[in-house]
Amino acid sequence: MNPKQEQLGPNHRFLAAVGASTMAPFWVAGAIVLLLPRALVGLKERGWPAREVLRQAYSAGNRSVLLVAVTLASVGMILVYHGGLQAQRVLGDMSPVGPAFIQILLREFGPTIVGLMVAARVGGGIAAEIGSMVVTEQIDALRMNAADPIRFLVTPRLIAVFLTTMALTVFGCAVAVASGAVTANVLFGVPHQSFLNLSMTEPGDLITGLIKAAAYGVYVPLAASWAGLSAGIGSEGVGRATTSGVVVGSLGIIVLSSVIGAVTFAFGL
Amino acid sequence: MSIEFKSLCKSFDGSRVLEDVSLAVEPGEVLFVIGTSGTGKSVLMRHVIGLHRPDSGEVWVHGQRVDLLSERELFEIRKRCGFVFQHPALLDFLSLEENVAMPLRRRFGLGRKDATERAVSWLSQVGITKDARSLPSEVGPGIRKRASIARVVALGPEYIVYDEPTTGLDLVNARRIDNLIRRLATETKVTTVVVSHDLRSIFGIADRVAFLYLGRLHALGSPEELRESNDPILSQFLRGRAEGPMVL
Amino acid sequence: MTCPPDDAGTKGGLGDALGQDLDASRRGAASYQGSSSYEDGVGASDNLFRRTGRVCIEVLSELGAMAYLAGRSIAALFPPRVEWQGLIISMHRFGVQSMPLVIATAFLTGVVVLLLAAVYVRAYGATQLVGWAAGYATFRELGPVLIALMFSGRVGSKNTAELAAMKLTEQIDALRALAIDPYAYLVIPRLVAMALVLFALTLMGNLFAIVGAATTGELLLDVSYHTFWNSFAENVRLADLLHGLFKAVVFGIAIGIVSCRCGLSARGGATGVGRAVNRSVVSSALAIFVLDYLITYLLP
Ligand SMILES: Nc1ncnc2c1ncn2[C@@H]1O[C@H](COP(=O)(O)OP(=O)(O)OP(=O)(O)O)[C@@H](O)[C@H]1O
Ligand SMILES: [Mg+2]
Repeated sequence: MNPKQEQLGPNHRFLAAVGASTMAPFWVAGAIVLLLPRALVGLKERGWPAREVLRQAYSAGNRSVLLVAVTLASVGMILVYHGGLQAQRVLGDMSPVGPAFIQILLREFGPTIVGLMVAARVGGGIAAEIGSMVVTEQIDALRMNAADPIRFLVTPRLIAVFLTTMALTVFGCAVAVASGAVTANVLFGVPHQSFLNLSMTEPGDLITGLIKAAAYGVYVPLAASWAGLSAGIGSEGVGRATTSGVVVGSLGIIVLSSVIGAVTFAFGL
Repeated sequence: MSIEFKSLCKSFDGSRVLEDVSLAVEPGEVLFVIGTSGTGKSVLMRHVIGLHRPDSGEVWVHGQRVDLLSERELFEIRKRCGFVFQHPALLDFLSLEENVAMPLRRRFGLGRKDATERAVSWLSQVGITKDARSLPSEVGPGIRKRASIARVVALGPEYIVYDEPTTGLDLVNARRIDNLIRRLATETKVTTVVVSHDLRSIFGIADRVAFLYLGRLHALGSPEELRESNDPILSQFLRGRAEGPMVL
Repeated sequence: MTCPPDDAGTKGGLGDALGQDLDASRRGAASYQGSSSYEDGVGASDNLFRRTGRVCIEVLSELGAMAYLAGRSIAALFPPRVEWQGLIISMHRFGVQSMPLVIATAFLTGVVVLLLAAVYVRAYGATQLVGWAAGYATFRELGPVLIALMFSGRVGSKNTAELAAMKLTEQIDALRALAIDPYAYLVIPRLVAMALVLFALTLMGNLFAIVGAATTGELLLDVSYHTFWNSFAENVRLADLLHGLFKAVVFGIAIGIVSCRCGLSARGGATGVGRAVNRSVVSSALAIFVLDYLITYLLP
């Protein structure tokens, strides 16, 4: 709480609290966005921290590949099941199930669900890692050695998670399509040829999906690093940082998904 | 019926902490356990209420062999035997008062009002009055420590293990805690084990002192006997000299 | 691998609850380190089989530990003694913490469900489908699953962080030393509160999802609210709603078990809390998907 608030009367204090909690998301968003140029500047000054990027990308991919596979397989199954029920009930024709599923998967679900999983797994991990560095004063030690913690910690994670997210999105979509095809075949007897059909997918869908994946790939590591860097004290501090890394990450993805969806829709993609 | 360790050994991840410790606490006495940091005093004490189990050896409390009891059966022992942790370990979401009152309510089914009354009176016995309603995070470590002592003694156990009750307290409060420990032992015959680095408490209230060194029981006797002893290691420890035969 | 007597030498067989948790995880860590250093020496023999085997063993022992926690919690229910204060405080906290996130998610779910149906509506003019499609998919599947995912991210992870911090500052041991069963005092109120709160949130979220779907239909597909409502009211049954709410309760208990287990088995200082939280979020997500599949498959 702001010390100034104590001077206000009860009504004003209430308004101030409402105002503060309304503004909080914007402050957070601003802080996260501001991390981007600072991380990129590090890149320009020092070149690619190739080794660290590889290490981070390996750990991020290794950690989340199983989760993404299971999640996207389940999502593929659920969506095809419901799409199939709808088609069966209304159209009596199962041929659009596959193409419709693939279209909406590439445009909406694939990138967003993968993004949410990356936010939970990798984002939470980054927030925990950086958060415990803050708590154990390793960040201050970095500063004492005149090393910029952002360039040192955030830049390689940003690049690594960006690359990993793109790769995982492609992988996750492939898994979802495969599990969807199997589901449609087993439950509704749809042959694979008619399921794996891109007739409803347009370039715009693919572009929208890719834009989303890229945006999440940039947003998640920044949000997680922000959460980690603003950790409080003690073991609770790390816990809170990790939680807020996951929460801010997944909320941001939902917002980004809507915004990008609206913008691409407006551009007729 | 008291507390007894029989040739107890304990190691963590292959490194030996306690080696063949045998020690019997007499009913109603105040036994001090002293020794250098990291020699395993806290580990030894945690065996009494089954928070650690020995690799070999036996632990007897109130006529029962606790190292064989299940968690459920241990609760009966823990109702008889209070334990004050080295780090206060108060529940961080309850105020000091509630921290003391909650076990009273759960254990004895007291009403909220009675439990709070008793909690307040025990807190004042350890010198906490105006901070009783604060959360543990809002008060200093010395107050937390004393509140954690109040939480245990309020339950009226027959045995109490204190792990460094006076460490980090000012001299006045440390003597008050000493008096409380002594009074409980003398008046209500509480069998007491105290881990301490505080020489004033040791020579003030101990009936007997056990000296642990490198995970073994090195010496045992009354405070006077230990003071007069000419064992080089013991006398270096009690006089607090940097130079001497002790290895760390 | 030899069991240290910390958990093996007990008469009850079940062993020392939390001590066992601790030792089990310590042993896991030790064996992991042991095997990796061994592999360093052997070089090429880190094969797929060994890795798969290790993962399987870890998953199984984790499942065992969770079953153990569930069993201990149920055992702690006897004699029945409701920690009303803890229950109400937990419910309030969990509800307040997750409300905004759940409303946002639910609304988005509605939008997304409608987009799923939009293809048919656009291509085949099947407007009579819209309300049913939205209601059926939301109530039975997407509503409970997505809301539970968000709930686990917000509430489950916070719960893990709290319990982990309590574990690492010896508060859990202190409860045991006071002869208060941590399962009865800490775990049960949280399990019950999570089940009840997730039930209520799903009920409320369904409402927002339907509003979101109807609005999307009106704005994007020119399906009037009236058409939407007719299709919804005619085709969606109470059973669909109940099916989803049953899932919500199961998910709530599962998130509770997973998050408590991860918190109580935390070790290793500040870093340990972060690791526990991370593990909790991921395991909850997996648990939700597996249970969703099982319930959909087994229940009408
Ligand atoms: N749970 C545990 N796991 C692994 N090692 C432990 C554990 N608990 C204690 N140890 C080790 O056992 C040794 C003895 O610790 P203990 O806390 O008993 O020392 P102490 O005599 O109480 O010291 P101090 O006076 O500083 O409190 C230490 O080396 C410690 O690292
Ligand atoms: Mg100690």
